[in-house]
Amino acid sequence: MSEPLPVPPAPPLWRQPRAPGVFAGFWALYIRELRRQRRAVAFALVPQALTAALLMAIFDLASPEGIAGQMPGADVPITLGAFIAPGLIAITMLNIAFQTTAFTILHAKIDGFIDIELMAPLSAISRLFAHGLLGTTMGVLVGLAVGVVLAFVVDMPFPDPLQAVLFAVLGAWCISLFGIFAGLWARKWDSLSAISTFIVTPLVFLSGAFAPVSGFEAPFADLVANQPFHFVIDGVRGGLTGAQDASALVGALGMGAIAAVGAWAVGRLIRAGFNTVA
Amino acid sequence: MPSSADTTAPMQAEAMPGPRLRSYGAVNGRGLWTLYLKEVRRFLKVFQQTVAAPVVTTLLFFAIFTLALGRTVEMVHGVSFGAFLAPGLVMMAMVQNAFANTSSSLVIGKIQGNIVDVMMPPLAPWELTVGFALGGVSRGILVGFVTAAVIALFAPVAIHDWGAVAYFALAACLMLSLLGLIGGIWSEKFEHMAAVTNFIVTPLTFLSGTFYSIDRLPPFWQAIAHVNPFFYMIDGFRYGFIGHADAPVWLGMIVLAVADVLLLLLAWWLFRIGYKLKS
Repeated sequence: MSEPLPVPPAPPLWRQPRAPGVFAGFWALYIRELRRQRRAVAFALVPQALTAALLMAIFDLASPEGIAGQMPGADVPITLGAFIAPGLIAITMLNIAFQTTAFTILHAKIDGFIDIELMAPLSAISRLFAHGLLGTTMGVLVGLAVGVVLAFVVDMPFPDPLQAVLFAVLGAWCISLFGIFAGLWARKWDSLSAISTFIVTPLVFLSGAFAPVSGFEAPFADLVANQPFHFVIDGVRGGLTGAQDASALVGALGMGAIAAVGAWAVGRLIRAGFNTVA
Repeated sequence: MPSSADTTAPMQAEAMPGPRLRSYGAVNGRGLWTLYLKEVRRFLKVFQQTVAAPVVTTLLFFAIFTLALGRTVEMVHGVSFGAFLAPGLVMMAMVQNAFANTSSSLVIGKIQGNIVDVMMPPLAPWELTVGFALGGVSRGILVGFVTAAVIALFAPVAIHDWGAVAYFALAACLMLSLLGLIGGIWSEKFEHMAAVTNFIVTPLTFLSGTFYSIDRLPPFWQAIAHVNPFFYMIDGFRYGFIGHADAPVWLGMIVLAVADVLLLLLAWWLFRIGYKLKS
């Protein structure tokens, strides 16, 4: 008779496996992806907050009256700083949301560990929400960090914080969906950085984040006023400062529609196994 | 001829002469050229990321600042805001890319281990310094040319003094190329390099007068600017375009030359002692 094997002590309650519920697959993947972001503080949060602060300092120094001067051409009177701060928050958030989703997926494809996700019993909808909400979380977190830094130098009255949060989440979710598509579509780092540099960044930056759309030349004014990111930036700015060009309701409905249709389309791609191998 | 497959026969010393020692003279010209070509091909292979992307980023900066401030800021030193901004942005793109080229080459080489391909060949420390540095300068100058050509479509870019443009472009690219080299030698992880870029290079290039005339600064910061080589490189380069400088141009030339020589010596010394490169 050999000794019975020693029984390992039971793990503490909060680490014990739970019975799989409807959300178990989603939750497991979401938490795992979030844990992969532990370096984001060094690579996304601090640099982005610093860059936003630098840009604000530059606007202050480059403008004759500083950021406390009036923004020329704005529909609602607003200072330069209060106009630009929500724009900086929104573009940072959108950029980070896109990059987080797209780069984590492509990284998994190139290093081959996407197999783990493909082999696990995960439904397409769990994977859609895990990746999409990962991008949304990271985007909103980094946007928040930028907002906290800028709140020290710019006076933002926050008339409607809920509206700002709504537009931030909708915008980050929509661009995360595009990030999932880009991460699946790309097979090389080069193709992804091309999408990021030549499509996403210009679209995000040229969306009325730094100047009122009415000041643009004739054909560009309409183009910029009707692109989805303009609604995001306008909605966030309206929520934080009360100065808004377009109707919040129209913006919210439009973004909601894009979010729903985008989720459906990207969900179909995930379920079909679109380009899962690099 | 006896069959060469007969491997059991004892080897004959005179049949296999030892490798001949090659002599290089004072300068290993071929080695230096090879290192330089390696550095240039490294960035040309991904020119979309190393040349095209900075051009797009610079244009975006130009668009943002002229849109946001073009109506408030009418003239700076007698030229339009666009004409004032363009040289600063071109210089910023040049030096950031010169820095990125050498620093990424060293850090990636160290992390992936292929730095041995550079440490093993018979290249003297000064040859390593020069080869790497010229690679970074080449990328900076190429990015500068392309950016300037594209930005000239949107802003009135006229050249006042070709000599100043050329001198400050070369001296500034060399300075940042060497800083990248030293930063790359010091870094052990991508985090270290990102910290140097985010906390030193980006703030210095952003805040040293790219976007505004230095007389906008409070007196204390003006005094700081006058000991900051980044300020002199942007100021001197801009003088070459618009004909106005905030500081004497000859002083900027001397400051950059001194900074370049000191950094060259530091980089050479680091290669010589093998700091964080050889164990």
